[in-house]
Amino acid sequence: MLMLALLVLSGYIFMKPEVCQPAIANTKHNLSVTGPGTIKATVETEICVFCHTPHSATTELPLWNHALTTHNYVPAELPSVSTGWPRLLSTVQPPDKASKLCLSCHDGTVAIGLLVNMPGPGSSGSVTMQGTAGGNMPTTAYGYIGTNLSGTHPVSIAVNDTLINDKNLCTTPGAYTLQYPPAGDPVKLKPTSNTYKGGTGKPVTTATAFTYFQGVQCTSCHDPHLEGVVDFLVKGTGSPAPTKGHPGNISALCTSCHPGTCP
Amino acid sequence: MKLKLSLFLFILIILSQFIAPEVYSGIPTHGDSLKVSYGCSACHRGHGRPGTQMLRKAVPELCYDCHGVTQSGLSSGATTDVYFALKKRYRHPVDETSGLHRSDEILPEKSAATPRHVSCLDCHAPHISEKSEPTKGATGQSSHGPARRKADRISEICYKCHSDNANRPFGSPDTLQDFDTSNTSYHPIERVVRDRSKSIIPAFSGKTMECTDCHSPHGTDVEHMLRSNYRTVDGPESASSYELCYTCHRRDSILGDQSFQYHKKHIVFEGTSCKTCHSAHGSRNNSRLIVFNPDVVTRSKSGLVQYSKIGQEVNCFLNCHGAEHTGKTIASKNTSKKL
Repeated sequence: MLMLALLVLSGYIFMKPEVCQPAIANTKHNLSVTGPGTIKATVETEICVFCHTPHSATTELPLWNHALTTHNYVPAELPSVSTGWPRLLSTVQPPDKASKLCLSCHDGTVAIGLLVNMPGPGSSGSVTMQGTAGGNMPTTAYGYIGTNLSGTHPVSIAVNDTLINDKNLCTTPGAYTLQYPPAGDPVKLKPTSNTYKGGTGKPVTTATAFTYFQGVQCTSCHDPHLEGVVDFLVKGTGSPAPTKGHPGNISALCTSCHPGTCP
Repeated sequence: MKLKLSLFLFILIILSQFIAPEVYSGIPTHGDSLKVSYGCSACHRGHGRPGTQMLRKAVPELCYDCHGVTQSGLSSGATTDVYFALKKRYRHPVDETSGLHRSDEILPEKSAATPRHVSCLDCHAPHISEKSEPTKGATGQSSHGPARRKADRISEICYKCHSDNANRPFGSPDTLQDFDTSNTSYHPIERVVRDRSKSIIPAFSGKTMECTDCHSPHGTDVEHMLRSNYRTVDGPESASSYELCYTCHRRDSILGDQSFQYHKKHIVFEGTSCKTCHSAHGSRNNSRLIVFNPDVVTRSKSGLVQYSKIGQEVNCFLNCHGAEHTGKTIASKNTSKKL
């Protein structure tokens, strides 16, 4: 009996760190002083607080705690016809929901430590950070995106049958088409309130009967909690393997939505 | 009832021509992991350079990374080096004007105010192209009707900018008009011609041509991006001075006066360039691609610059360096002549 108790106890001791240590702790998104990156707090040890709070959160989901970007993305900064994008993307609208949350650090306009609800009892304020440029993400940082999104994949774009049909009749026909990512694929469409040609994204009803309108967000390809092979990508470990600064062969990520019709 | 059904089917077939996306067979070279191991990342980044289509560099620098052996120092030989050609004196100015390309543009241009441009992407569709067919999937302007999505032939790609473009510069030829099959004579781009020159190398006889048979679209050291020498001003004849023409038209046949009795007299003894009498593209009114070069050929005393060929009878009314041609009937060899 004693042996059994010891066995259970030892198991608990050894397993505890793995069970309780969230995956994010070993990523650069651990902005607490314990984080592995160069941009992190000087003393603050809480990890989740930089993005989430159980109380007094913003209205953004999920329980968002970070101050939001107020940058007004103008058409010249968005993927659009004026920057060489296919005509159908001329309707790209400013980032919303998940992508706006990401850009609240990565566009470099908001202080990384600026929170709605500070750790412990208190109100809004700023956690003291190191490795920043005046509190904001430096333009030289690996993850810096800035406010010009014109050369990036469109985000917060509603995906519906109209878009898929348009895309498949446009650009280089028959080469790389557009489809909804297959069920079970790590690449997923996420909620957006934006529309395409006046239509919402295709409605999705989840198991809990929560309905959202789907679209492409940063979180379609990136999982902010999990570093993955590189760059928080949800998928894409082809050969050559991706490394920091060079994504390697990540075609599997792209072909979830853009399958090559050529064999 | 049957009529209604067949009418419905007919409409369906017509509509399907517009709706059905093009389907290509074969493996596009850039999509072949054995050739481009980095896949999409070879060119694209999720967060690419601003203003590009998620590219890690802007075109053409992006293309030169693999297609510029001279520049990159690579020597794999696996790719075609176009960097060097695109730096030659006579070239398509992709370095200067690629930034003006829009992926949704519809050519030919409708507005004269639009600046002319050329980008690698005007002639190449990198998602579809194959090493054996580098222009596969490129869009084109057809001679048979309105702008098409996909070029069936290389010439249709050229027509996009070198036909009825609103922004085509003054003096630049409308090639679609030059090669129009309603012309009296034309080089066989659009279709095979029956009335062929006797000088043509038998292997090329009865075949159609492509623009790229004479022009090298990336660039050359010869004016008009010609593949080989073509002296357009009068001067001594040699195998190299008209190398371009002699590629298909046998020099011995021409200088042997097989197609025209006075070829040798004109070309060798008088040092007349082919261009003085012939157009390289086509001739609206004359057979044998006869279009006199106005820089050399002037009006005759009777005020004419005229060529006529009735049967085998050739008559020229013109003045060339003071030599009056007054319609003396001259004729091809082996036929009656009354000089």
